[in-house]
Amino acid sequence: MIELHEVTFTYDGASAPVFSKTSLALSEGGLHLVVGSTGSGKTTLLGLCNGHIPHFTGGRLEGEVLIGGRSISTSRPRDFADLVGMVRQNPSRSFVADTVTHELVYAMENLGWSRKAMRSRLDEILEELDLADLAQRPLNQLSGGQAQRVAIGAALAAAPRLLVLDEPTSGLDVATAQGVIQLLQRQIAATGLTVVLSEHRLERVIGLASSVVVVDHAEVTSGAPVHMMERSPVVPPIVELSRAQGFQPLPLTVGEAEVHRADLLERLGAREPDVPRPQSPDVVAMVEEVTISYQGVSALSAVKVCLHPSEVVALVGPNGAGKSTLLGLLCGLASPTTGSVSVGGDPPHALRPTELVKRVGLIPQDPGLLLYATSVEGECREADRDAHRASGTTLSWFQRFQPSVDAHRHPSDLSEGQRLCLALAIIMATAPPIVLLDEPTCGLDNAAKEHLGEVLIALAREGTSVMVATHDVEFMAEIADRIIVLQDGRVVADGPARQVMTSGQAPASEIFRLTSPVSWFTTKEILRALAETP
Amino acid sequence: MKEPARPLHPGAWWFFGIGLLIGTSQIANPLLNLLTIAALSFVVALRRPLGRFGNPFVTSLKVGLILMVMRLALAIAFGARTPGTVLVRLPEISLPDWLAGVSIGGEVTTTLVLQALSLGLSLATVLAIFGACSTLAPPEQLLQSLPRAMYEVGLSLAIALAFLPELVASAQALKAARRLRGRPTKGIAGLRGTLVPTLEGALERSVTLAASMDARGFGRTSSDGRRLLGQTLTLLSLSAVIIGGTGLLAGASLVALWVFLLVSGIVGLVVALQLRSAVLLRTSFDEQHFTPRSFVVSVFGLAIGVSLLIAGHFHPGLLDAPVPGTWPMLTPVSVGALLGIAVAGLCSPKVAP
Repeated sequence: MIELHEVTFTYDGASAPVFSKTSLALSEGGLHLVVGSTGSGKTTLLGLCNGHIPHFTGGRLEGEVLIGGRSISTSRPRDFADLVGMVRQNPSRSFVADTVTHELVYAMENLGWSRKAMRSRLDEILEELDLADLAQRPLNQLSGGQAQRVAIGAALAAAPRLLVLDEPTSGLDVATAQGVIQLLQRQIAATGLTVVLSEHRLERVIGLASSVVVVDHAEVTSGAPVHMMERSPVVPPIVELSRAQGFQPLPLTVGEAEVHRADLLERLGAREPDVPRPQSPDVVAMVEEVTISYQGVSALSAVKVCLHPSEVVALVGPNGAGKSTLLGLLCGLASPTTGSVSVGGDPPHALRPTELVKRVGLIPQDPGLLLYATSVEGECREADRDAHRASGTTLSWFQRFQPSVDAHRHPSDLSEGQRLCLALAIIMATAPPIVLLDEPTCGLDNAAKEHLGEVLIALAREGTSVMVATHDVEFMAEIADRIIVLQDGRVVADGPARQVMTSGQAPASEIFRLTSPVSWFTTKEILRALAETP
Repeated sequence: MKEPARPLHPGAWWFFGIGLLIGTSQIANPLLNLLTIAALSFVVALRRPLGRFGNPFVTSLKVGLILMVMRLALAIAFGARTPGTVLVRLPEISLPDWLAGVSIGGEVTTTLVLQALSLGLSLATVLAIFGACSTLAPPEQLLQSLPRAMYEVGLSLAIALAFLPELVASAQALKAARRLRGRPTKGIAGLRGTLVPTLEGALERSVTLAASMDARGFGRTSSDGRRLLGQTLTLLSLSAVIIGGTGLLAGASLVALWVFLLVSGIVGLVVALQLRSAVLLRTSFDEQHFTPRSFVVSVFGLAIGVSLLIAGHFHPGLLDAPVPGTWPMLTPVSVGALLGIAVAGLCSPKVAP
């Protein structure tokens, strides 16, 4: 389906090529999982699949890329519309129409399908993707999971033979992500579709992949999943543990690792998981019986939450449960309809911005929103001035988080993880006792995620109260002292992380599922325990 | 079960509105204008397509109200002094002789206020008609019914229309972000800080949109040869029209040549449009038929507009602003005509849920 022959591609103005003399062949049918760390060229590889690169982006392409036998040098993206369906990151940004129906038929209209053919295909798609109830819904009224389904439906509508998806589950909660993956699996089985998919959260897809493509800085290799996972620089937690313990054949999922469970527990012997750290009795923020309604719909109802110094709280729950609203409430972006909220003794929505930032900092889902300047250094200088701090304060925070980044670089040239750390440094300029993060791991690779986890834990050890809204179960397991579960705007669980996960109210990490009921959380925790002498 | 009636052609309500405007734009009689707005409100409440964000009709009413207040304030401050019962006496600023006719302050009379309010209301009514049309038949839908060859023009307009809400959303996100950094969100400083990133964000979104449209086959053509022919023909014909037109207007001799160029240019353009339609593969999912009901609704608008003008002709003063102390005039025909707006609403098919 996809053939790369000695491909070298260089973006305009870039000093080094993304690929050099790369060859790759992916067979028709099945799910091909593309893995690699940020900046390794995954998105470039996906972009080549319909000629978006280089036709739209520019750059120099040598060698030959054949998609379904057609060369991308001679065909433009629009000429691939009947062969390739594309689903980009952040689906709602790529919508072209007004309602779900119009979005779904768009490609068919452009390809000149007859009205009758369109109608029957539309019914099929609505049925298969469980969108029938949403057919007339305006696109801006969809939840994250619905938007992702519509985007996939729109890409599938014109019956392409190849579907390409760039991180389709990164913004979705566990259950919704599972739904999306199952949907893809059904399509592959029913129509012989070829799916090429990139994903950082490998644990969500690895079990279904028929082949894995590892992109590692100009090196592109592909093969059977087990074979590729032996050497891949990025792996899901179960594989990381199994590789360290030498389990053979390499298990990829919790189910496959089950046979090694007894062995693992025996090796762990009498060692026990880390004991939770004691909670400080002080309170830095208090939300009491808060209800927030927008036009009669309540986003939060009777929510009661306390934040203590020196802890990391994970805020979890399905898409649309009210997580972002709760964060907004704590930093004054939303005000309660009824009930009260106080941060350091005052309601945050009533504080002036300059006073507010001394008490609480929030990093929105897109940290780029906080950045204006043209260099890291300039950004830090402005943050010092805004915060009335000695010059160099922000930069020293940034250098603590990212010691090796050149301060002259433009913020938009930084990787997602580096940009997040820059936003965090800006927030930390005023040293607020509370730091809130909204879905920080979206778009972060495993290394960046691990680094962020370490940074946040270190901040918490120094006294900061850190609250992270996240869908990423593994990240939650890695960092959380306490877990708060929101559902339909209500707090359904709030307690020490291990307790909430054991009760089944929060989704469980892979390692937790494997070792339950002993309840180890993460690979790192187990490996650390094994390294100690009992 | 009865088959639901086919929806109106999106053009129907706009034809209706234009017909209505022929009459109502001449009316300063506040009773007739209020009656028009009331009837339009009824139709909008009855036939507003569901599931649409925002209601342009309500917005147009609000803007109309603001205009009325502004009109009144301007009339009180700068209006020509009119005789009548004095309500308030404002301090008058005397202006030099060469500015005779313009006055600032002075006596505010009932006539002045009544006139200003009536004219303001008539402006608000015109706005309300546009608001009602955009609510009943969203402009995006109207653009979709453009001929196939003009599809790209319609599309650019549609994207421009979509750009505005995007801009608002982007500005709101940035405003929130500024607050998070402890920066001013209001005033000039706030505006300066958000303007550039807002435009940047909206522009980025446009590029994503274009890539997305391209990937889904936008602008696919069946044959490159015919497309080239069409483009060449368009270019040549346009040149012919411009040269011919300029020649005629400049009054140069050789009239026959200019006329020939002009006519052949126009013919060429029509052929090029046809060619373009044939080359574009695009089909449309929505069926937009000019149904009998669409025709009825369109004709209703024109009939109401014209009968108002005729009624005004037979009853002088009917369409004018009232004189203080008298009740604005109403005649059976004018009232009946405006009730026709509501009848047109009832004639139109129910909107799909």
